[in-house]
Amino acid sequence: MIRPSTDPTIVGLGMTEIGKIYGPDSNQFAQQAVRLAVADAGLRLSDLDGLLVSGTAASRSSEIQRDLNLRDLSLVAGVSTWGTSMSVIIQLACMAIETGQATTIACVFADAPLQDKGRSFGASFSEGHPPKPGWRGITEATGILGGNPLMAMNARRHMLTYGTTSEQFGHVAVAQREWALLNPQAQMKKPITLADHQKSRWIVEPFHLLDCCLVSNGGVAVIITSANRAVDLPQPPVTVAGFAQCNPGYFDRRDDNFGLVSGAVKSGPAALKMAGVTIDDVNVVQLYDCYTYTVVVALEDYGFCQKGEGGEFVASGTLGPGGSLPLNTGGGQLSSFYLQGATPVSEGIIQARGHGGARQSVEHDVVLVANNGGSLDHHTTLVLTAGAA
Amino acid sequence: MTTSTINLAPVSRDVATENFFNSTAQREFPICRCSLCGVVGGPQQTQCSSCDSTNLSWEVASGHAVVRSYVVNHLRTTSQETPKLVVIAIAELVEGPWWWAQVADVDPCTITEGMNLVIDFAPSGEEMLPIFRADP
Repeated sequence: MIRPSTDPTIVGLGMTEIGKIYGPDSNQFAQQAVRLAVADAGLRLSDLDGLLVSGTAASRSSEIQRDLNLRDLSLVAGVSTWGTSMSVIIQLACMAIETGQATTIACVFADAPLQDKGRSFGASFSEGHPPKPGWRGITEATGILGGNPLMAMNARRHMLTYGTTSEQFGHVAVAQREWALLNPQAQMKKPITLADHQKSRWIVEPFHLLDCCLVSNGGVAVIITSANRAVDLPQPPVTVAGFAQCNPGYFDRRDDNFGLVSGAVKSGPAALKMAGVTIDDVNVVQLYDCYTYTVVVALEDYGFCQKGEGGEFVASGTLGPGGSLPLNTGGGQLSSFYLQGATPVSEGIIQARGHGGARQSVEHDVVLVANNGGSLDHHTTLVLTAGAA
Repeated sequence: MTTSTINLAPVSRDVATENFFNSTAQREFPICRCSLCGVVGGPQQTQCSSCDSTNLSWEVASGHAVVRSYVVNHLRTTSQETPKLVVIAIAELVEGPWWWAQVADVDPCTITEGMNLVIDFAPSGEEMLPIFRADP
């Protein structure tokens, strides 16, 4: 396929130390990640003319610009759509490259939820009592605090409707831990079994501890430029060949498909069409896995299996090293690290470059990167292809 | 068999929830009916979820509902203590709207999709909040 030279191309990837890293705040992690990404791309900070920020640093783009001595940027924004925000800023960067608004853009996600060593991990994403006044407080007072009960409610609906089981969710956790053992950067270093998953303590039923993602501090940045500029740069170029979003909107009333379907059913086909490929062409898949359940529903929505059969699909030996579908090859948010959308994005780039080491997929021409935000409120798809025109 | 308990943190009203809490104080669950198309929405709605009209009128729900999904929180203050089970369900009111609420005195193992519920009310701070019970 002949592509125009303005094709948005990822030429730099920067990852700070990630995990239980105490000290830096999200602003400082963001700066570190941008410096690392610029160096990885063989560029200088002064080459940047765009800065897009997501995560808890999203509202601090002006500070980050100032601290990095970035001048006369033609594109700056902070985006907050939870888990999709890293993909959203990559999409904005792609559009800016194609329109010429900016030529060399840093997209960064940074977060530092772990500020106190004594605080429980789940508490980092839950707001404390007493509840706020009004509608929000009614939800909080009822016990809907943070992502755990929200996503557990989604997962239970899937189980009640399609017969999906906790053991099936466990297969996702076990497979991704196997991948994590091949990833030197992964936070989790010990193998787990299905029995370990079933025995792990309840967080909120139907989720055991091993259904839930890690909590991590750190930052990830990528540098996006046009294909013609990428030619002279050192890293294997990764083209953002297709991208799309679907933000379904839920009505909280009879016939709502809450928990059963995500926005992937629309953003997936749209992104694949833009890339000129089909789901059968995809070699490597990175699916947002804040909980085991989200992998199951996304596999259905992307068409890797039929709707309602995701549980059987993940329990059939498809996943994990040596399985037929290289999925969340770094260990994902469940076993490597949780920097929201930056986890699937970074592993997708590593795989597309062929830099995955012991976990590298032999075929990596087309990589699908899928992110969720909120309680399946947002979904983004990126189709990454190895090598620019 | 361990049955579920009610565990509500204290709520407080603001301007937007004044009508709601005035109703729940009377042990009534208020819903909004669209004056144009008749579609019923939850009490928090500011416009019709079907036709976008902001012309809504309040009425009292029958209090009958069915389970669409649920989760179980295991609350404990020390690791030795037997956890309290708090069931939170999506209750689909027979009028249509969904409401997320705690369900009292139910064995979590017996909850099924479509199980019948009936509304009750429990104190939360100085207000009353809707909860549900199994409706045999």
